Amino acid sequence: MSSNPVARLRLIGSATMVLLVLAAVGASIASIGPSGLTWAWVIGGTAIAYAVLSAIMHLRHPEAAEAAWDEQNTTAHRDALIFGFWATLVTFLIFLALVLTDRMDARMAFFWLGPVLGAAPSAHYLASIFRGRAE
Amino acid sequence: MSAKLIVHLKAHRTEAGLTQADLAEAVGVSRKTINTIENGVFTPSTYLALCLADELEVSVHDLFALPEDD
Repeated sequence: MSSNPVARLRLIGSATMVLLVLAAVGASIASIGPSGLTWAWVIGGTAIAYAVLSAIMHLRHPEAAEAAWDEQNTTAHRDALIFGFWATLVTFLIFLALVLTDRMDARMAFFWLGPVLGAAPSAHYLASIFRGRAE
Repeated sequence: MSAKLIVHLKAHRTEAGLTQADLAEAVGVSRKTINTIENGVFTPSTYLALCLADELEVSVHDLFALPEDD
């Protein structure tokens, strides 16, 4: 794991987001645990807490933040956002089809787009870290 | 434009007695970035290449070279 505190928090935050979304999807498919709306709030709340913590770390460690957002990491982040855009678009089209065929509630579909939007870039960024192309 | 750069960064860094972490800190990037540049995985911007050359007191051409045409 990186010795850079900002990069370390980014790794932990990204991994947490991805694991939460996977757990929520798994629980929903298996029909166990809390409702989808509860999961959406849990994931959204975690994302907000991560964002606040990240902002604090950036302010407390400006030099580490600069290194954590150097050009290689910025490139990996940009690629992650591009992946997130396409993942969200594909998910939206799938949800649209499910809603139009009465297989999914429109409100539920709307709530689930948020976690996908938040977790897809994180998943891509984690992949970049594990491939040794980001920190 | 997909030809890989020939990178001599590691040789010049070790000659200067610096670790990857030392060089990373000196130019304000992560150690991973120095590592991936040395391994030819990541191609640095002109700005970063100039910073690296400046820190190691060599020219950019000493650090990076284009492959010979076949």
